Amino acid sequence: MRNREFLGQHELMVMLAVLRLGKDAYGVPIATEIASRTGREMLQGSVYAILERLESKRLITSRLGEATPQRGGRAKRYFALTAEGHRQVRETQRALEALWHGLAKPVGAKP
Amino acid sequence: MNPRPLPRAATWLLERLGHDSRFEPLIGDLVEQFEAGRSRGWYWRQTIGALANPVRQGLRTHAASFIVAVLAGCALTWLWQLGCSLAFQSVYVNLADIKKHPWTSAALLRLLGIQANMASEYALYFSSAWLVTRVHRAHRRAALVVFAAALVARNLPSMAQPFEGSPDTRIVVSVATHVILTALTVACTLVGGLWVIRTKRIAEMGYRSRLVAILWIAQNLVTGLLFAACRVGEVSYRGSMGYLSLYAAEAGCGLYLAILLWREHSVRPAAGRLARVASRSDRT
Repeated sequence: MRNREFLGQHELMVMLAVLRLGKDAYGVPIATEIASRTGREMLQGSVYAILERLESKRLITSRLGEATPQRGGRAKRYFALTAEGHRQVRETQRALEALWHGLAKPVGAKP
Repeated sequence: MNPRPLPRAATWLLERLGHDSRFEPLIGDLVEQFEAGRSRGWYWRQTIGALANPVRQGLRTHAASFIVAVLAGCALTWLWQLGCSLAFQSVYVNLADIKKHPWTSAALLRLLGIQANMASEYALYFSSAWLVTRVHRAHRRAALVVFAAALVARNLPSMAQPFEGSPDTRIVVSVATHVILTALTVACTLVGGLWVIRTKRIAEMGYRSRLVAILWIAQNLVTGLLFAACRVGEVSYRGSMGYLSLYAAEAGCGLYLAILLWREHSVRPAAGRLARVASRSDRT
């Protein structure tokens, strides 16, 4: 069997948020997207730590964007998934679906 | 309506202690959300979380080597100080004799011993910091900070000691002595560690760090010489406050040097900063 490395929970959440946001994916909307969809508020620093880890694994790329006065003149850093990132997300999705498949009732529901 | 002022201390900490390539856009994100109505408490929470992240990451991914590094540093410190206290014990017996007969060979030898003991303390700070950053290489700065925190924690009981006795007018001096000496220990450890991590060569240091480093070394030498002069009685001893202010200045200078070295270590060719400068010039 091929040795596969699946994404961690937080990594997957961040990658899906990046995927959903498309070209507008930078720190603030990524954290907001995760908070609004999952109800879990992540520290901005943790989001960046995960993004950096994903970038070091070559699953995402980043580019510096425009600096605005609302940000104290600091540039935004935009993120996007690489081809390998897309492949990893799909693979993780397939693995999770395979595990969910066949479970008749939601987890934790009374029989 | 005037915009709310940013928590400047938090931003300053992020700018000085943060890893530049990541923290530049991160600070921007925090500022953007603060401007959008987030509270100062939220800003501080984010700041502390961001600064603690490398430590958390270090502990999670390389817990064993991280803990071993800090413990090795503590063990070396303990062993070194034990060895020194045994080796230099005789030097400190009947110190008043030095003042009575300062220019005898025995007195000068004892004075030399005291100076050697003080020098060995500085050697210890650098050696222990070197050891910590060698054992744990993945997050060296985080390991160094935790080691410095461990040294502070070790000194806490001695800092609290004056409060246990009866109230005394000299209590402030006693507490201040412990606090300042602990700050000096932290400063020396951080400077030693960051020196090992960052450069190892004077030429690679920035102009300001070089200047502060020279000033700091000069301060150390002057304090040592003054200390020796007081022992032989050539300089009048004006109570602990004189020493304390010297040590306080040394600690302050050392901590400032540590911040500068930390900052230099973080600096990358940051396109974000260039963009910021461009944005500022556009506005003006």
